[in-house]
Amino acid sequence: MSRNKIVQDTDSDALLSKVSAESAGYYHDPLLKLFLPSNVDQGDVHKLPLFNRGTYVRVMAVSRLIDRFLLAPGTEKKQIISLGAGSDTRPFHLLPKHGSNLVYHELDFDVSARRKAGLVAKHAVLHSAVAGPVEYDIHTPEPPHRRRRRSPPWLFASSREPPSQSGAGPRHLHSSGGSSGGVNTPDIQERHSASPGRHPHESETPLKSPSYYIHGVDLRQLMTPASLQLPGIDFSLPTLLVSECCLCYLEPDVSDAVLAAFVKAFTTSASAASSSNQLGIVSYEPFSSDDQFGKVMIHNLAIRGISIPTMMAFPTLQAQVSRLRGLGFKATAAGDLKFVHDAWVEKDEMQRIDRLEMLDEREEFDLLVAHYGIYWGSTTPESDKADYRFAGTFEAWNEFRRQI
Amino acid sequence: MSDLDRAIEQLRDCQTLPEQEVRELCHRAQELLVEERNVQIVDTPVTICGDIHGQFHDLITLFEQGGECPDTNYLFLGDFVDRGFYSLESFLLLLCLKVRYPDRITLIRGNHESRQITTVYGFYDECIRKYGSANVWRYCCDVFDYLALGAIVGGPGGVFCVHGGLSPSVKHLDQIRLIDRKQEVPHEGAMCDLLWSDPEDIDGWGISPRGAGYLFGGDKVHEFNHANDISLIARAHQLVMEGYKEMFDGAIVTVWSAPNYCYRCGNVAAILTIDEDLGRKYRIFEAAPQDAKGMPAKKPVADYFL
Repeated sequence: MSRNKIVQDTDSDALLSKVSAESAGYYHDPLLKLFLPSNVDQGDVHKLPLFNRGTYVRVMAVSRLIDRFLLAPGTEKKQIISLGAGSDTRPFHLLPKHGSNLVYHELDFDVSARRKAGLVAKHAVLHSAVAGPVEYDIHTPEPPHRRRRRSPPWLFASSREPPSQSGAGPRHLHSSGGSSGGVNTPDIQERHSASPGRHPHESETPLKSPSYYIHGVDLRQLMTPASLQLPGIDFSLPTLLVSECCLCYLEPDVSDAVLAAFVKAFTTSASAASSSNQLGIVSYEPFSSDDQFGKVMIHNLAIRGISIPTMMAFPTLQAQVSRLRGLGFKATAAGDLKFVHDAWVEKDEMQRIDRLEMLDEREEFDLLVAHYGIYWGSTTPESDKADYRFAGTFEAWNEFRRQI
Repeated sequence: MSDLDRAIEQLRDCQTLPEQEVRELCHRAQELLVEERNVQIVDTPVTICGDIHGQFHDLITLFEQGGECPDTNYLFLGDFVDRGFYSLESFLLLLCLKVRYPDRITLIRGNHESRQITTVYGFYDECIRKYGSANVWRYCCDVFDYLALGAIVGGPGGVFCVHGGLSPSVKHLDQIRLIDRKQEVPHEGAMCDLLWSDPEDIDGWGISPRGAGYLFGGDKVHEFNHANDISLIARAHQLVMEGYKEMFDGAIVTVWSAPNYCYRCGNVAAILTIDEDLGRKYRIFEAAPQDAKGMPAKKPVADYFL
């Protein structure tokens, strides 16, 4: 299996974990099930209580930081750029809520981007969450055993009307070729990502609308400010970069270069010049702590072919924060998921989730979640250097308790 | 070679027994356990072991480290099943040894030896996977109901052994002796607390974050030990990265015997031998290599938040 495919498959880890936590009642997200592969039934996904609780904390932490960025007073229109977004449902919750004040970009592998655009086209509830005319450019992958020729692009534009009834199945996406395979069949993804005729460095945007874009692009191609000129990205808007377990799969020098490109593009480009220093980041990734648990984690992931180079390069919360500061994020804060679990979940909410499931494995939970960090930072200068306070668009982040 | 010896050989190779044999074994174990007291009396020397959680290959390592049964006298503090991939083989091996050498091995009940918990944490699913029906799970659960709740090692001044810890309803050991233990673990009360509680650096009693049992402080441990003329409480129930942990000036110890718990935690395991003079000797051991003989071809992979 290719390294790309292995990284793409980690999205199904996240998705199944979220479906399980949602089914157990930790949070409500009726859109999640739309992203499940057809051979997986929502009712069959059961993770242990400690996993459901950890997933809840992770989703809650990232969502709260995003929400406070969007609700902060100041410039009305804001932009989110989500790296390796996978099957994240947040755009479909946030876009209807914020209307024309939000532009949401998702960047992912081309195959993942097209799959998601296909699902938006297929499900009326997703399509209708995106305001304005939606342009889809969804190439039809063919199962290799049925057809060698690549079918022509399947293109259409529509306004608020969905292209088909929800639940009609992916078949219409294949109408030109008459295939019966699902768009999410792994062998098709694999085949298509390596299909001839496509320049490997070419980026595409399989979904375009005034407020929502899905870009198919390999993040390793985004190491210069010029390479960030993707359709719809506005360098003059206050922008939040979201990396939920994404940049960690890149080599540290590569992810450093990607982050440096974003900082540079947003703080020095011509369009950003009038209102500079408006880039924020929310990042979530595991770290090793240089301890036995971290060593076993690296070993176990390696059995699956997964390597997370930043776990070793930045083995502590502090190392990761120092890295962000070195890259130009002047105000920074961080907490591991154990800290966030203990400090951010209000008493009533904690009582609610305590009642959902008995959490027998308390020590294991603490150990596990202490190896994942949430980092938030902004290029906005600190208003008070002594305690790294956030300012401007990101001022609302000061309300979150930080571990460092 | 008797049927039991053959079954022990088979289980030591990590092979399960036919359903009918499990049924007979569980029946014989119940006949034996029904005669045991809620608080078993155990002679020294004895080697006390904590949670096993279906980590069969590590249980084999434990016997290599501590000596084979019946050469070594063992006391297991419960949580034989759930989480690991070989709950069935681990529990049946211990049960076979119990039936074969009843005076050389003592099994007491952990909070995972329960119908409700095993349906969440893996033992039920494992039985369905290996037998295609819930029969074997039912036989095992019926045995769970007969397991002792605790043990006293070494007589006066000795060691009280229990899976979890103390209960506000139990000031004296006689109160444990009055419990009708032959039932599913209740959600509250003395029997529940003994299997679920944890020591904590607090005064008195606290609410347990586990949702069952209590947290109890050093003052409660010293009171209990004094009132019952014991020098130590040996319990399991909590993962300890170093394998064991003494608290409150050595008045209580947590013993954990599942190394690299859930194939993920990176901890070492420990067993505790109490000698004739009530001296304590800890032995630390590490996890069996993941490619140990008998592991499934498709390697088990621990879950992470990716």
